[in-house]
Amino acid sequence: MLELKFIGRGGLGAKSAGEILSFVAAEEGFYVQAFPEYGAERMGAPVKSFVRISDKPIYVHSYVTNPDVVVLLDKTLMHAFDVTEGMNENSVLIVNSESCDFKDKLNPNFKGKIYFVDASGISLRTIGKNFPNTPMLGSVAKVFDIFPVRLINKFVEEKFEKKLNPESVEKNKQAVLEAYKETKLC
Amino acid sequence: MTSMLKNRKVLSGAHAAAEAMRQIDPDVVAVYPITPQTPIAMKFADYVNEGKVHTEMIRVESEHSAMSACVGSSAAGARTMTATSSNGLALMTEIVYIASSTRLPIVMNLADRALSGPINIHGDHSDAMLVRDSGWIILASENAQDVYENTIMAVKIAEDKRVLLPVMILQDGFITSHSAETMYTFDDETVKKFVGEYNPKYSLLRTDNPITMGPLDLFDYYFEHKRQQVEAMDNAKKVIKEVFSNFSKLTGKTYNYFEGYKTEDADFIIVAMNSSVGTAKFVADKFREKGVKAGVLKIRVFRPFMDEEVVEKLKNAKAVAVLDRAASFGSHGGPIFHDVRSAFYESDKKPKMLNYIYGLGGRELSVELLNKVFNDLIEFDGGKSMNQVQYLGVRD
Repeated sequence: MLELKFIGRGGLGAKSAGEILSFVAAEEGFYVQAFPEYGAERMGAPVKSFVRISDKPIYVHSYVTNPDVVVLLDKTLMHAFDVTEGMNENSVLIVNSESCDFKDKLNPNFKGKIYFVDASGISLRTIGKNFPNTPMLGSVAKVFDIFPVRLINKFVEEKFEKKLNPESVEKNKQAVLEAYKETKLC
Repeated sequence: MTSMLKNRKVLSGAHAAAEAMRQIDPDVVAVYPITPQTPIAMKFADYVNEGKVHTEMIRVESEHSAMSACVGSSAAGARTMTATSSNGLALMTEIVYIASSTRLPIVMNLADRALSGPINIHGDHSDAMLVRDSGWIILASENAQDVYENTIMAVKIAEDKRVLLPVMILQDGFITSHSAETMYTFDDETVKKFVGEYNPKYSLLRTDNPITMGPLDLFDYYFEHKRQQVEAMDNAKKVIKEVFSNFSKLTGKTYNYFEGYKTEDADFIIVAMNSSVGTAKFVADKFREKGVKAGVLKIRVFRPFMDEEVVEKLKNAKAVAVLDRAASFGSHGGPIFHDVRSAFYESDKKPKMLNYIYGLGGRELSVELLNKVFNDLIEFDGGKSMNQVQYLGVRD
């Protein structure tokens, strides 16, 4: 079972990103589960969402406590709590950042792999607003080839075609592709 | 056996309920929004708006009015559904009792949420326990799949002429209602055929057979009518089994009042309702890997409560833990514990039994907490003395 955690702030799209990833895995025949940790949601407040992917039916309904992957949509949250909590040396952290300058802010015990991509920059460039969730999905695709970019963009389109105009949907898909190309290992 | 559950989807529990409702295509849905039920009503409203159902959707000004409108429409002979949560259910409780005593086969999804106060929006079973004795049939759902299947079966159970009682389908607020997961649905035709055309036994609109519903009923007949309600609930025990059996033919699965997961040879069993069943199965598997004979008993039907079946499924265990996501103030343990423990009074074989009150106000039920429960059962069986009623995951 692959367990992922998205960490962001209310309004950045952690919940939608998790759902899109679950749709991709379901399309490929996996059993999936995607759910947010609900508090009293406010724009800007810390938000987590979780995804489970398995080749067998998923029974467990508690929060993900030992994530294989953490996708951090806002690196300032590193100051608020340990974003690597529950991770081990095989876990992967993907951070929305222009560089690896955040590394000394992380828990020094974290020994897993760290990737970064300037998802906010890409989002501002392509979409025109800070929605790092869709570009971060491109990064996940880069790191895990079980999530093909083509399928991610199929479900980005399905998820947003009712909410956004066709032009904005295309920009989101463009952001996914750019982040896929620009994701680097720290 | 091939299953007619052919369409793989990723749906939340709330949307699974709405999908079942779309396929059932009820005549009337009267509903008022409340978290975490709201996505059921919102999704169904989309279906109404898009012309995917023929339902008349009544947007009312409160849950009291929602259930009142349901009573009116069901009395008129319309297939009627609604949904609510927590304080919404509390507000409609007066009419919830009237629906069952008037023998109206209304079907309601309940996204379980803690009752106020203090105010809280998250999942626990205090709302369901508030109406435990209201005379509604109560089905419980481990996940979105169960929500979907229970909602379809509920229509057949409620409308059976030997029953004519309303049915409530429980799902955990947020944990199930807002969690998207893999599930399978029928084609529309399959559901349509299974639930069939609704031909009400009585209808206020049938002028060739005029009847009175809901008149004053004092010491002359009130008691007899209540006795008939008890009888209807007893009849439901048989009818539910028939509906389970007919539904099995569509899904290839087996349904029971209490569904055992690895319970047949189990020494240690957790009894649970709703989403915790799944987490308990996950934990039981881990204990099985360590060589411990662990199992889980899922409550699919909470009312009527089938004593014989719960005894049959648990009697060979060494120790049993009953999980209650609701408190019953001033009594020994939680409501499910009362039922399970009482069922064993006449039994020759009695497993040792512990009760855990957990998860109030949506407090997380982690794998670690359930590890503790199985470990407690092993130690309790080994002779360690323990409080029979414990609070799991609380700061003491």
